[in-house]
Amino acid sequence: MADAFFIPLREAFQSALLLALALFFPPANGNRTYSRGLVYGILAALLIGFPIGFVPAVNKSLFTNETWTFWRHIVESILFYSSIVFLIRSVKPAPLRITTGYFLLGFFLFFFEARALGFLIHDLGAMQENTPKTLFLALIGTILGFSPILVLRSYLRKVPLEKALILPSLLMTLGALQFAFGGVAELERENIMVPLQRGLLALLGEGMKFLQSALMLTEHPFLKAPGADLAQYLSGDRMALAMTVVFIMTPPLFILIHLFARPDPLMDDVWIAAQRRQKVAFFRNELLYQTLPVLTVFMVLVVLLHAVNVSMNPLYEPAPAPIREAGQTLVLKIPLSDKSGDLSDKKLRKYIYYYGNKQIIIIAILKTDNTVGVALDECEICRPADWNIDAKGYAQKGEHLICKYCMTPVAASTINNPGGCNPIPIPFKMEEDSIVITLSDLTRLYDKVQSLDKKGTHL
Amino acid sequence: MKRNLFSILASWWLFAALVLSLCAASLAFTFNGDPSTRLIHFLFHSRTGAALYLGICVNLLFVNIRIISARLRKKEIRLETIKAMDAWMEAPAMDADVLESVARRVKRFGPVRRRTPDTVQIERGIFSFIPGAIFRTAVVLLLLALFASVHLRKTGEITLRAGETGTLLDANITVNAIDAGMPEDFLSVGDNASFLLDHVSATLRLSETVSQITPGFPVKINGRYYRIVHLGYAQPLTVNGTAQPASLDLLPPGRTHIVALPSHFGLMTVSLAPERIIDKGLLKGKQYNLARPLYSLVFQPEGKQAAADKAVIKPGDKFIRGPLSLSFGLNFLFVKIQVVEDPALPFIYAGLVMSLAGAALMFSRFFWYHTELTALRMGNRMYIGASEEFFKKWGIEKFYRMREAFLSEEQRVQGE
Repeated sequence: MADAFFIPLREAFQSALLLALALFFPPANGNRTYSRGLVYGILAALLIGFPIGFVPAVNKSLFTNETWTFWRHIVESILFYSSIVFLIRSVKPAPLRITTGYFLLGFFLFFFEARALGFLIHDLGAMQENTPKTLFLALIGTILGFSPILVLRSYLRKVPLEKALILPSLLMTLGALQFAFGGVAELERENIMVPLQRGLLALLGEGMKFLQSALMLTEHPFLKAPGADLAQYLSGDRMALAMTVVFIMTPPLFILIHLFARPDPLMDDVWIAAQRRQKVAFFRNELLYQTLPVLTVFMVLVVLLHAVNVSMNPLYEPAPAPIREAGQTLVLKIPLSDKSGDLSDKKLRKYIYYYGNKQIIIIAILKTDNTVGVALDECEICRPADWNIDAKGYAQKGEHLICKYCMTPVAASTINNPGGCNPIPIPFKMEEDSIVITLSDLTRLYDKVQSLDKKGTHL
Repeated sequence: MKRNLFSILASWWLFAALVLSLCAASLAFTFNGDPSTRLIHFLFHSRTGAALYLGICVNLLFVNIRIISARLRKKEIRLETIKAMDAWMEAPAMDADVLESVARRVKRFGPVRRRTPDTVQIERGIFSFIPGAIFRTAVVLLLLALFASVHLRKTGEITLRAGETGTLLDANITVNAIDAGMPEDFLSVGDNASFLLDHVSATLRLSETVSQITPGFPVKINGRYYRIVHLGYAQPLTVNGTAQPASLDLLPPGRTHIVALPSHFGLMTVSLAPERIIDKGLLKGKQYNLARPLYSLVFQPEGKQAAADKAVIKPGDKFIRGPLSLSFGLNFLFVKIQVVEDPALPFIYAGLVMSLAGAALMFSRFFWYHTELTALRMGNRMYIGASEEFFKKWGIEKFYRMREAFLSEEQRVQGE
């Protein structure tokens, strides 16, 4: 029940931080029309986004969570790269356009989070069997999350943000912080860098194959083709990572170059040398303040890149897809083929089921003998500490599953066999094109596993 | 009107818009299966995609024209053009030779390009647009060649053994000989083995032309391009007196090939058998003679209850099991040859090579860029302006230092 309060509180607070940057920066700071546009945008995002996610009929008739995440990434990228447009072109639009721009900025700063919150709060309410209470807690949490702006507004108005920020660096900062904070972490574990890098990897791979085919230099498993090594390198993980780095570092670099390319001011009308030095020093101090947001964004982006770097390791671990009970039944149905692909690709799949305030992660994989292996994403032996999330569960490497805690490889062909380092098997049956798991079996098994006295260092 | 159209077509904003549209299209295709095939179909076979694709080519060409013409065109020197430069100054021009002294003082800006009694223009790096122009032209060439290739290319593949003749794309192809340099002692360790053949070649005869082809770069013979795309064992096989030659796809070692036997004899699975197995601790190494291979055969007769039968045999041997009699002749190799008829292929190569050359030349732009200084004398006033293509800040500061020195000398001269 506490999640229904704290998650919206956290998301609203994050959005409030971004809202404060936009609200207390000129021209919105001191202009009621513009600041109202921004606030109305946030309100519209809450009033439209939350119901879209909360009402199941509306939610199901629109996009899946993955599609919403995709569009959120697109909007964040547009916001991030608009900084370059405003850097190159100095525009002076009409007041109505500025107000509309602020409205849209406020709307998109919170819309996707509001929709995700609606979806999550509905699920939490359904699990707790007390939807009105979770809804009430969520609204309180949201209001409290935005309250620092209301409480501190008179103080924040006096903060001279225009000393450190120019419009392009404000947009770049908002975009970068959206990359870091955007979305609800419980639903979307990956930031934009990971799907971007994966998408670039796929694009480079297919593009290189097309080019090799056009050049009549297609690769072969054992016949040496010219340029095959170069093509593999250019279409490999490193190149995709390099392009990801270029993508996210371009706006900050552009802004830094723009700042440092400004020459010192002309001092024709100042004859006293001390005054000249003072003016130049003042100019350079301002330059320093204006580089602070860029350097902060650099640090944020480097941290985000770390997630990409980790995802480049040879262990394959997909993000768990949420699953719910099928209709009014008490079974979970995992389709063999869905939007994320087909189980026949022999890649590990993970699914997450919300059991009260706990999360049960299920793994499924098609084994080499074409039978399905279904198990919990944990074994009987290892128990990493709660804070050590990255060490929990299994990842795939070729035909083995690797326990991320003790790095023991487990042959995928042995899934469904209990004991040792094997993931704990879940009873299931196959129905046409789905794996069917009874909820009672799952929850009973999960509770039993949690009460096991597991060995391991518990770190 | 024409000028507006030209400036739109030659605009980098148009390029950005076209590229973003292509990115949007490629992202849209990721929502369903097989996005890359659908994207390629969109780009090359749909009107919208082709319009975007060719639009980029046209845009890059016009950008080239704009940049080159802007650089080489003789600009009219007016006060407005000087004031529009990165930095400019106004100074007294009492002396008739003042422009001469400017030209002498600023000769490090570059050679004097144009001189009249009232103007002087000094420029350096006029041709620094060349690397960019080469790169853009190469990209356009590559894009257009790819587009043409997709629509004009005819491809065929044929599998031939040494001494065999086949027909493809109305051409008779005879393989005179195949040389693969198969090792006699290839060691495969554990589950992974790096098996790579780098001296494979086949001698082809087409009409009166005899040429050698490899898995490397395609070879042009009689207007078409030929390349080896696969290799395997051609095994003469006689089943109960009936010749049934088999092309066994057994490479790299570990791969299996299924041969359907006639009547009720079922299937025969063939793989390469190692001559020797070496056990060292946890690792198991298998040594294969790929020049004279051994075959491991597994027979799966028809009927669910029938048990599989196994045997190891070498070429030249006979295998008899009950009613089944198999006779293996001496083996040789087969190659799969890809034949392509594509007038755009040389242009694809040319575009790629030029792109790489242009990209490499672009590094020279760090020190090879356009700088310009223009002086105009109007009555007893002189106006001097300077612009640099890159590193503008340092160019402006260099100009200010020159300006201060110039002004202080003028004051000194006037004082004298």
